[in-house]
Amino acid sequence: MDDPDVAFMLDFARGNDEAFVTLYRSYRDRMVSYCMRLLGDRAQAEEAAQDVFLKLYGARASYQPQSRFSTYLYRIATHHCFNLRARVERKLVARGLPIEEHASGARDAADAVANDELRAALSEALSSLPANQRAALVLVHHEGLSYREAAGVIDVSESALKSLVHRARETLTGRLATWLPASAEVKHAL
Amino acid sequence: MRCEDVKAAFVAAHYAKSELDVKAQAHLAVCVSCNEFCGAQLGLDSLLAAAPDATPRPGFDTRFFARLEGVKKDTKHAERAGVAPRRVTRWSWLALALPLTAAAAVSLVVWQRHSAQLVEQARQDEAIARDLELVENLPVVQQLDEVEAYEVLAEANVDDLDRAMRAPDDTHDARDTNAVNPAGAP
Ligand SMILES: [Zn+2]
Repeated sequence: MDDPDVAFMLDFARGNDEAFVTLYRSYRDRMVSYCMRLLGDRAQAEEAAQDVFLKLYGARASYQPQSRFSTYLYRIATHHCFNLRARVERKLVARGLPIEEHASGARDAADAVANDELRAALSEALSSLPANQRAALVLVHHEGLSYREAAGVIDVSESALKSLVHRARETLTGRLATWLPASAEVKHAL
Repeated sequence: MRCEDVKAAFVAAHYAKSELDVKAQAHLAVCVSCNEFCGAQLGLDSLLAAAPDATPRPGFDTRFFARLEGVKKDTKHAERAGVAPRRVTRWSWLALALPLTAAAAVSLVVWQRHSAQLVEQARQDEAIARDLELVENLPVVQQLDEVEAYEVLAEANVDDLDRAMRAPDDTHDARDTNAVNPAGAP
């Protein structure tokens, strides 16, 4: 496979810890950002990103290069964040609390910055999306993965992925309607 | 072409960075609903840009590599335990079961008493460690650490050092006692 990061991972699997550190440094910021977008809470996202690299470390013996390395790492991160989110939601349900308002602490972070109302509205709208729609949107929109790569990360077909992204965007435009600029003539933008 | 198909094609083309096909463009030119939807989609891009990338806060690497060291140690222990020879006969577990159960029951009682204290202690330690991480990377602090270490060594009496090397546990106990009861009151 023509992916230098796969070569690093194989090197690490053969026992070279330096190769692991190289991968960690290359993907650290991207993983923190990605987990932040899936979980909405900075402290939780940092913890999750660290978990992802610890899982990567533990997976060295069983690693088989079947995709680009980034796809492999995004898969670990996505599944981990899904699990974390499901765990939080189960706890909230058990306590009889509404999921939407408590699943994300992003509003705390957003409050601290300028333009915080928009950011708060955005993170609330994002946290209202089902986990797979949110991941599909973040992978394609923010992480710049192709439909095919993103589909590989969350284990769905390419057409299902397109549909997830479409529904996510549809929901967001509905929820953020008041923030959207007055509808423009689209044909000129094409 | 149905509106739903045009909307789906618009979002797909948006991410594939490809042109919308001619039929969809023709539909869009006359359909108010699709035009509004697609306009909102373009607006959504600017809203999504309001959520910037999150960068790890200071101390992230320190915390990560500390956790990694922990994992490495655990792995080594597990590997050692895994290859350790076990001479267990078919019924030998019975000879172990009763005393182990009794010991476990006693341990549980003791552990329950101490676990709350340990958890609280661990929480405090973690908070302190996090605070320290924020300052420990400053060059000034690192230099101070070095200077301080030399100063302590320079001030130490040779006999004291010798005693400390021979009986580290005694020294530790004495220091703990002093810390609890610094005035030496009974
Ligand atoms: Zn239409």
